[in-house]
Amino acid sequence: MIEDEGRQGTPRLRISHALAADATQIAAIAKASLREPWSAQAYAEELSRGHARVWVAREDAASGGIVGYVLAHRIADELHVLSVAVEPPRRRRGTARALLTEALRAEAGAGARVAWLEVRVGSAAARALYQGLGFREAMVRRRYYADEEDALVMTLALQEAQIGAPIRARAQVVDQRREGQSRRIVLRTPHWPGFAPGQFLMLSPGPLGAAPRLDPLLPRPMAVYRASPVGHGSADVEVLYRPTGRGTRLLADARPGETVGIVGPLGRGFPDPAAGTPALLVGGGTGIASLYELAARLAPSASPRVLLGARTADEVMGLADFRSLPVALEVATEDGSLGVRGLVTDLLGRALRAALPATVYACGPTAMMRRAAELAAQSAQPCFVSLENPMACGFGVCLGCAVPQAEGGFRLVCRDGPVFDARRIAWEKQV
Amino acid sequence: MECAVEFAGIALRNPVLTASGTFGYGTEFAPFLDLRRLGGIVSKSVSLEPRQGNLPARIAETPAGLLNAIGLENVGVEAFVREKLPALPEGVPVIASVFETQIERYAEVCKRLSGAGRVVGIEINASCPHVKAGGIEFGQSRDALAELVRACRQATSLPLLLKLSPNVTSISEMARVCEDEGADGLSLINTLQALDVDVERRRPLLRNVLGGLSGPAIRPVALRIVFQAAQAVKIPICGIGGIMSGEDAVKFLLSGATAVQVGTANYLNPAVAGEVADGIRAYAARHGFARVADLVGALELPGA
Ligand SMILES: Cc1cc2nc3c(=O)[nH]c(=O)nc-3n(C[C@H](O)[C@H](O)[C@H](O)COP(=O)(O)OP(=O)(O)OC[C@H]3O[C@@H](n4cnc5c(N)ncnc54)[C@H](O)[C@@H]3O)c2cc1C
Ligand SMILES: Cc1cc2nc3c(=O)[nH]c(=O)nc-3n(C[C@H](O)[C@H](O)[C@H](O)COP(=O)(O)O)c2cc1C
Ligand code: FES
Repeated sequence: MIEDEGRQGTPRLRISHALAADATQIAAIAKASLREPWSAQAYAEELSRGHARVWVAREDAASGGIVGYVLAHRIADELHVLSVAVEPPRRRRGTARALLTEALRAEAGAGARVAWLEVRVGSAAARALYQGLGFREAMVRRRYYADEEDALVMTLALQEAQIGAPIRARAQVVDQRREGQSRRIVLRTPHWPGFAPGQFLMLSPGPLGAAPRLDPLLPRPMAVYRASPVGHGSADVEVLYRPTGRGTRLLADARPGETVGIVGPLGRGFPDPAAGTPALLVGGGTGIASLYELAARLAPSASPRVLLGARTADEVMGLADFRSLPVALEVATEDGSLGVRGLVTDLLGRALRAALPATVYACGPTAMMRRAAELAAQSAQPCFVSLENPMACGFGVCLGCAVPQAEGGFRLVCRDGPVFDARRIAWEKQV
Repeated sequence: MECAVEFAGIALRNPVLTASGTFGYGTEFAPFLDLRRLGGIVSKSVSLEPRQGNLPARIAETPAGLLNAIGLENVGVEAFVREKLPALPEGVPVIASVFETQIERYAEVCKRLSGAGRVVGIEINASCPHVKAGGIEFGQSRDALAELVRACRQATSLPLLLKLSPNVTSISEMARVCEDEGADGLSLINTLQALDVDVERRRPLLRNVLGGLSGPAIRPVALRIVFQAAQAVKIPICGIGGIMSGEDAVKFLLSGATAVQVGTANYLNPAVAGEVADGIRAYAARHGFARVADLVGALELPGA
């Protein structure tokens, strides 16, 4: 198996909202990159404003330094991008593009309709970056900058540009490795639009198009475990899975260099925890894969507690990754080979007795999620579950993944979920 | 290469439509496919009132196939006309599919669709249980089918297509009934009634027990039915069943279909319908046909 450059050379990047504590590092990057940077104090004040939207790219290593940021203001349905900067030694890796993509995706999802920005007319590289994201030149502001250079105003209609819309692509397998009972497959995906924790892909092992695979016929839904920008708008998208049936065994046969068809990212991800409440993540079996990105994005600010469960130690997916995050981690195995002997919901019961309030996030087998929902309800805490119903299409057209609602009727796991408020599910009718 | 065809009085840019129930209301595919690459869209079957579907499990994978019992869940004709139709881009012909459990209600839905501007044709899904006839499918009874076509014919002047159940003894007889009662074309086939079993749990895979089978597994049966119907009637036929590629579509054209519909394949590859259209064009060019329409019925049969 080959190692991709992203693994060997430079640490992976993760994009998340900036914290108050990040102001100093942001100011340092601005100073190295911008002709009119602000002070650390100005950034600290900025971060505390309600309309400020700041994302940072962090290295995924334990040291976790910030290598770039994007700063914008959200006013009504407009997003005004004020600055984007990346540490000089880390440039040319698509970090700025990935930061902007995430900002546009998140704000388009939160109702923004237009994004706009000013760019120096002489900045060919910056203009090309924005053009590549779909920004168009709208007007010129004469002598806008202190040194009298003109500014070009560029705008982007977010709804029309389908920011964050799913893509269909042939992704190249760049790595596939065994980790205990599971596999980790890394897919180099062109035009990756970014994703929200909890979103998923439909994966078709084998080539798409001209010579379609007939058996097994359907693609398989898999959570996006994590994605790292690798330049030119591409990302290395990781999926963790267990080869159990025909589709996943076929996927396990895919060698580096081969392609896998993907459609995604699909569905709606996890909502933020209620303000000021710690997050309590509960993962069982392959459901653990849906929770990693949520844990990683919440880790810097919301000090989440993560409870993982499986039958035996070598079925606990992504354990090393979770251990490297600044989260409180507990493990339960049914045979006691790792952590506490028992079920992950035993850990949840204990956690809910010890510390409230908490927003519970659960993904795993139906019985586990149902029990998690009961426990959260007993202590009157919100609980979100990510369902894993069988799917045919993944984007809301076959109506095969319907989940019965407590208030009657159905919703679609692929389109309205996979994350649902646990109280709204008619568990006794769920598959 | 001339790709345009005329099907049942409807002018199509190319012979590839998308099958009812497999293409949503169309807009779901916008991120993946320019809908103007299609000959047209056949929308999800609508009924007079909105309808909820069956309890899960609604779908199961079978060898080269898909078993479904969705239960004809739909938004109802009113919401379809008010919300779904206007959301589709201009220049995409829409054939509206209709299903009901009583003849009068079928006719009423046809009437409401006929006034709805965007609709260029109506496809009657006749593979539904006929309440008054004790739950057998309209398409399985000669008399019920004749009565259904007559009522719908009176209700609309739009091109009228009949989508027949393949679960019959003689498709030729049913096809002739439709032709005699004034249908403009036939859509063949709907899903084949089927069953699959979870051996470990000794239970049917679907909550509904029986389901409809689609996908490549049913293609040879669909081809046979199109072939037989094409011999029996003069009205044009739209071939449906397991089409995954241009070559698959060409098989239907050669067997006598004037147009085709792509169904289950849309789930695997949301851009497939455009690729099927390109594939047909490439095949026709490779084999020296000047027009795609010249492929229709061009199957060379062994001499007697
Ligand atoms: C939104 C979502 C995200 C998911 N994320 C992951 C992930 O990150 N990692 C992972 O390992 N798995 C994940 N799953 C589950 C995964 O999709 C199924 O395990 C997989 O489809 C089984 O395929 P197979 O070919 O191995 O099994 P098959 O041969 O198709 O079937 C084996 C068994 O699995 C059952 N099954 C089939 N399809 C599904 C399904 N979609 N969900 C549950 N059971 C199914 C069958 O009924 C059968 O009992 C996710 C499912 C969903 C809906
Ligand atoms: C999930 C699903 C839902 C369907 N819903 C409808 C429907 O509402 N009306 C209809 O006439 N046919 C419906 N069909 C049948 C298809 O339109 C088509 O006739 C059949 O699937 C065979 O074509 P295929 O093998 O290309 O899928 C449905 C098929 C599937 C798989
Ligand atoms: S999987 Fe097709 S509608 Fe959800």
